[in-house]
Amino acid sequence: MDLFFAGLDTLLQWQNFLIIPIGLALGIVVGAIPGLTSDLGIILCIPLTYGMDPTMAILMLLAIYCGGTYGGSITAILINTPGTSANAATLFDGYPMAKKGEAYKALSMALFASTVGGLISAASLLFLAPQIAKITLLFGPAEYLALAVFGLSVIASVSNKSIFKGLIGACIGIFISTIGMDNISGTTRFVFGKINLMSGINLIIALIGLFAISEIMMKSQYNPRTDRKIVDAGSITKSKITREEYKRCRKPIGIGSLTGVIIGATPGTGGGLAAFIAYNQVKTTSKHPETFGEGEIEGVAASESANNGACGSTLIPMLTLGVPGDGATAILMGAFMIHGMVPGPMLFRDQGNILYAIMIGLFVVNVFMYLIGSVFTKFYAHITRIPYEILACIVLTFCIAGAYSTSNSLYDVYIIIVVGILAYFLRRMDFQLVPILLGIVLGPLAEMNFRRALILSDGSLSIFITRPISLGFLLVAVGSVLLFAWRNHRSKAKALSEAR
Amino acid sequence: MKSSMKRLFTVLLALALLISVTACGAKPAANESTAGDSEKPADGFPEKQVTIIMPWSLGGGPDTIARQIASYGEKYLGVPVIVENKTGGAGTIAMAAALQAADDGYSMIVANGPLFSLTPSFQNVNYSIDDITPLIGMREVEFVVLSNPGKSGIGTLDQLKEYAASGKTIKYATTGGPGNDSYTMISVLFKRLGLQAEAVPYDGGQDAINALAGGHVDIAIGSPPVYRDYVKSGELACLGTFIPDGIEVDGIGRIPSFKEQGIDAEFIGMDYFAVRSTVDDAKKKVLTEFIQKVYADPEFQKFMAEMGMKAWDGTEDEILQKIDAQSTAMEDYITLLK
Repeated sequence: MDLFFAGLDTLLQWQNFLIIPIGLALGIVVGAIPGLTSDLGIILCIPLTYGMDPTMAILMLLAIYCGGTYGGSITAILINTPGTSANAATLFDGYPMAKKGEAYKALSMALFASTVGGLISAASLLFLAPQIAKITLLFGPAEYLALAVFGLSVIASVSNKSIFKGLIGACIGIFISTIGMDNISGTTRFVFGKINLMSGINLIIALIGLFAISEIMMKSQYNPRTDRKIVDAGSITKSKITREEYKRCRKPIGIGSLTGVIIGATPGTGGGLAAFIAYNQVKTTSKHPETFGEGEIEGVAASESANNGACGSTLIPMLTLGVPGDGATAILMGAFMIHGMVPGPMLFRDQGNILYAIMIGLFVVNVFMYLIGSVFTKFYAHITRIPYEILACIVLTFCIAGAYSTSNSLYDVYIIIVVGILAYFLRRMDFQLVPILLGIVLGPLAEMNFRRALILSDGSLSIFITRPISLGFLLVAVGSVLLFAWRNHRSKAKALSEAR
Repeated sequence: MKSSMKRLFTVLLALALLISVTACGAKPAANESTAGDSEKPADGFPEKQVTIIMPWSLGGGPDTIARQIASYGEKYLGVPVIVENKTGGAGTIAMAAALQAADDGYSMIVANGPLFSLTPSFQNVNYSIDDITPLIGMREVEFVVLSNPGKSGIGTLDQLKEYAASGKTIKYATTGGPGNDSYTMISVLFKRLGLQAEAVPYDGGQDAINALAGGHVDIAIGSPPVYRDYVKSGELACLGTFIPDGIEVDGIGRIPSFKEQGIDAEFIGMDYFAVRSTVDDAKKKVLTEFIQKVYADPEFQKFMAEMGMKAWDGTEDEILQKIDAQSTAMEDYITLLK
């Protein structure tokens, strides 16, 4: 308790309250530009923090991280391209809402859900970190495989009409993820002697190609003379979230935040997976699953509360065990070390007051995020008024610049174009892009841990069902697919009997 | 038919636009690489930003040190120094980038021993030690083999042998796959001990230590500062190090070498700064002196002490000798593992 107040004391300095909004604004901007992620924002700002004291430095970087995770939802809703991989699930209902003219409502819900998720996550970090850290250590290869399978089971509910196209899409995604050096055998796969392909295809690069480039190409049928919709400036911010909608979203936000906290605390997963699982859970347990994907505000609430719900809890394994939960926290860990704090079991003992200042500061970050976000949202909503022929050029420029900047190489620009063309033809053939993304994200997690688990069990598959956590995840995965299949079957039978 | 033709046309137009945009992007890059004017006298050097190409990922040991050194660029070199991570391919991607960069002294690379002693045995590489000149050392990497006595009951080498004698296959976590230095060294250790053991490659040092702390594997390899706190708190035990003279670790005490324990497996990992060998000698001197000045800075020394690391100011000759010795040793080790 002494540490708590010492931390509060360290936090309550005016400089900290000045730096948090700056970090947030930066984070929201980089998050909202496809290709620029909060990872990049953090890297660019680390040198700026050299002169600051550790609390201030880390709070600024955390603000970028949280702001970036929320900011990515803006482009997901407005231009059907997630700003970061964490926001991919927001596409499902966010973009349809924007198309219906409810962009402002979707953006407001994304902000509200992100803030609630973020606050719950900060609470979990503050109160449950040591307990959650113990559970994290129980996660071995078998558990990770089961978690990845659970994540992949989401394909069933996101493939819309054709489950087979969904499965084919996931296979394409997994194929893309196998390109490069295979760490376990030390051999290269599908590299064709190209040195640039050896490190594989960067997730964010695949994301830009898959969503942004193909989206622009899909709009090639767009005719400015007949297709342009004139939107009245006043009507943009008219559709506000009703009290009934807030009430309806309570359950999705609850499920989303909890899923975010749990998945976020599991190293190597991150907010993107949390958002998909939360979306899937909310959809399968909803009384009206058919409205999801058509602009259902609960869908936006679930996925956005989940990815920000992961923001605080990814710090748990990093701070307590020195294990980064995702890319951004790996970079944050570097920043901690630069400021003289080596994450790991001794950190809480050695630097308790700074840690408490940071953990309490995370609440402040989320409150500020809501305030800044509410101001920004009004402006962002007007992006829907920009004629598409102009917007497309701006988006394309940002995509190319973003792709180039990920590793300062033109090679990545070529890759977004190749992936974009591939994605365009797949979309023309009615494939969904999300299963492909799930394959890319979860393929390596599943494959590497499957192989590691088999080495540990001397080749016996029983390792996956004799370990309780692993068995639990596998059962939930099977259960959610069965539930989905049963519902699908029932609605088909109903449609058939009605037709007769 | 007409509308589909029109559609096709628009798609092609969009493609043409994409290609033209990327082609435009290529031009400045091409200009930059031809602008390398190595005849310029070194007294004007450096007049623009210097880049350190970093083959390893952000936040890792070498990256953190390089970024700290880079932060002294304005103070001791008069220009900004930036670190650019080009990860992947066990460091070969960064090597390729460093050799493609102009030899004007504005690009440095952080390299290690295995890039020359080990990687060429596993990959077709298009570089050799003659392409670069090591400037100055960065750090020595002390690999330590660790166990988790609370989970497996293994706390010493003898207990490890007993464990294997009971018919169990030892599972050990490495920080990378075949072709990685930690993988090679710990595999050699088990070969020399004649024990039944199998490697479980993880992604990086932190992952491997985590697997050990969670009791998922019996043994893991680690380097500072990753394992230090676990050993201090008594959760993990050190079985030995590959550094032939053993090492002294703050807060842990002396860790004996495997050589002292009668096992022929030695390895001194190292990271160092290098430039293309065709860079002017005068410029090499400027860069080397810059890093020497940083190493002498008390603030930098304090930073390194806090990280639990020491800067290593090995000279060009020392580094080359080590690489040479390491290459000979690795040849034996690789034959042993095959």
